[in-house]
Amino acid sequence: MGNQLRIAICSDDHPLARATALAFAEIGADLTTWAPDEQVEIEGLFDLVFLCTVTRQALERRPLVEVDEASWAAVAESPVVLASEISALLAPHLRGRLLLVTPTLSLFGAPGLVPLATASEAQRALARSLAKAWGRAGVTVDVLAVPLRLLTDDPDADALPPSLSAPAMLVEAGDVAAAVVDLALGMRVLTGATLCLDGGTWMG
Amino acid sequence: MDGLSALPPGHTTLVTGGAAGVGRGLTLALVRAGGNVVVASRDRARGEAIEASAPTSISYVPCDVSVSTAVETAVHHSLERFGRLDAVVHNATSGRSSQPLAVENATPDDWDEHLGVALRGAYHLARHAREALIATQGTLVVLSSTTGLEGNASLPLYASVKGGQRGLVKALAREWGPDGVTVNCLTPLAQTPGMDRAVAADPSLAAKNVARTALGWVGDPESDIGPVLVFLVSPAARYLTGQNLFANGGALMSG
Repeated sequence: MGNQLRIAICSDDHPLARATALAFAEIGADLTTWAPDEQVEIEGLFDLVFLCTVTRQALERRPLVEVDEASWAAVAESPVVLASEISALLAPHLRGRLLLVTPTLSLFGAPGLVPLATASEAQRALARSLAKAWGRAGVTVDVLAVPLRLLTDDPDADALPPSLSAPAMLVEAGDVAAAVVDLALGMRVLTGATLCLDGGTWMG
Repeated sequence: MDGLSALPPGHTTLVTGGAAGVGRGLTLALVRAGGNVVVASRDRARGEAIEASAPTSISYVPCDVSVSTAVETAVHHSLERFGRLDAVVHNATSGRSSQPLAVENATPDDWDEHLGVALRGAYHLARHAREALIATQGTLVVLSSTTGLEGNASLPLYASVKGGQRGLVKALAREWGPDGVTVNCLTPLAQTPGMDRAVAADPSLAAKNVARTALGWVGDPESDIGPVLVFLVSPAARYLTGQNLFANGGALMSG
């Protein structure tokens, strides 16, 4: 079964990207990986594309008034455009699911990370738009919302607001990767959805 | 006006895109509630016309919200003209908002236009108005759209920036909460020239828009959306922050 799967991971290096690559490698999937800012030739059809445009710069916490225009453009705007352009490039090569990966913090608000939250929510709306546009062609598009620390090698990245209760369970990258494998294997009716895989941190 | 609360004396709101469409209705509602309004708009003709309609309460300032210095000027103008700034309402949206465009056909210029008005504009407004809003314990309101929540097959760029505004509002609400400044979205459904153009292009839209609502009619910018905005910028809404208020006759019910 794994030999039949063609998977693409378009992402910077972080725990979740690594765990996802490992999970698919373990089931014998044909795996293609590249960074979002790389120019690549895309061939064939993919069963699942894991697309994450979160960068290290996006994780730098500072008040919005201290964010200069170049940083705003780089963190709040460019990732959205990049996600759109990559999605458009991949459109003829999708036979399954496009998964946009974002941090859950955009759902409950994150002080000091306004640009990242802006870009993340923009991509959620983009995903829903693409889901509506491409559904009849059999392509599903969803958002995978995960703890921020899975998108960086900084284990303290998730500074949660006091108003949120502790997560019901601690989520590791491997746990989320296993769910991504399931998404590649089925659940064809799931599209336009936001899958919050954060151990129950945000139950909204 | 029925259902319209009075704003405190001297209450001043900066409304981007406040000379036409929904923005015009909001401007007029704020003035009817006793407030002052600074209309920041690229449309000089309409801006000067609405100023002339109530020159003691409305002041027009030319403004392209995608340009930092223009927004800074608009904020300073508000303070110089009326002495304070209690609320900023970011209503301006790209003129291309209702133009169908697939992502496959979107150009960098298309993206820059949408991002510049909706997101960069909000960013500039937040940065330049923050100190003035802290002084009055005021509020920032961003006009959003159900498209930003539901997505739209033919308007992915517009949907994306409207979605992005929701992310900005929630994050900024948490960041500015300790300063006593609230930040919210207002999502209206109203009869506007933009909607009229869309209906002219597709007459079936008129009935569809009505059918979507629980109330069976599409709201008027001044008399239906205006009172909700007046509430949001008034002291009565001081405990409301990080929210997306739907004033749409029940067209979309947030869960």
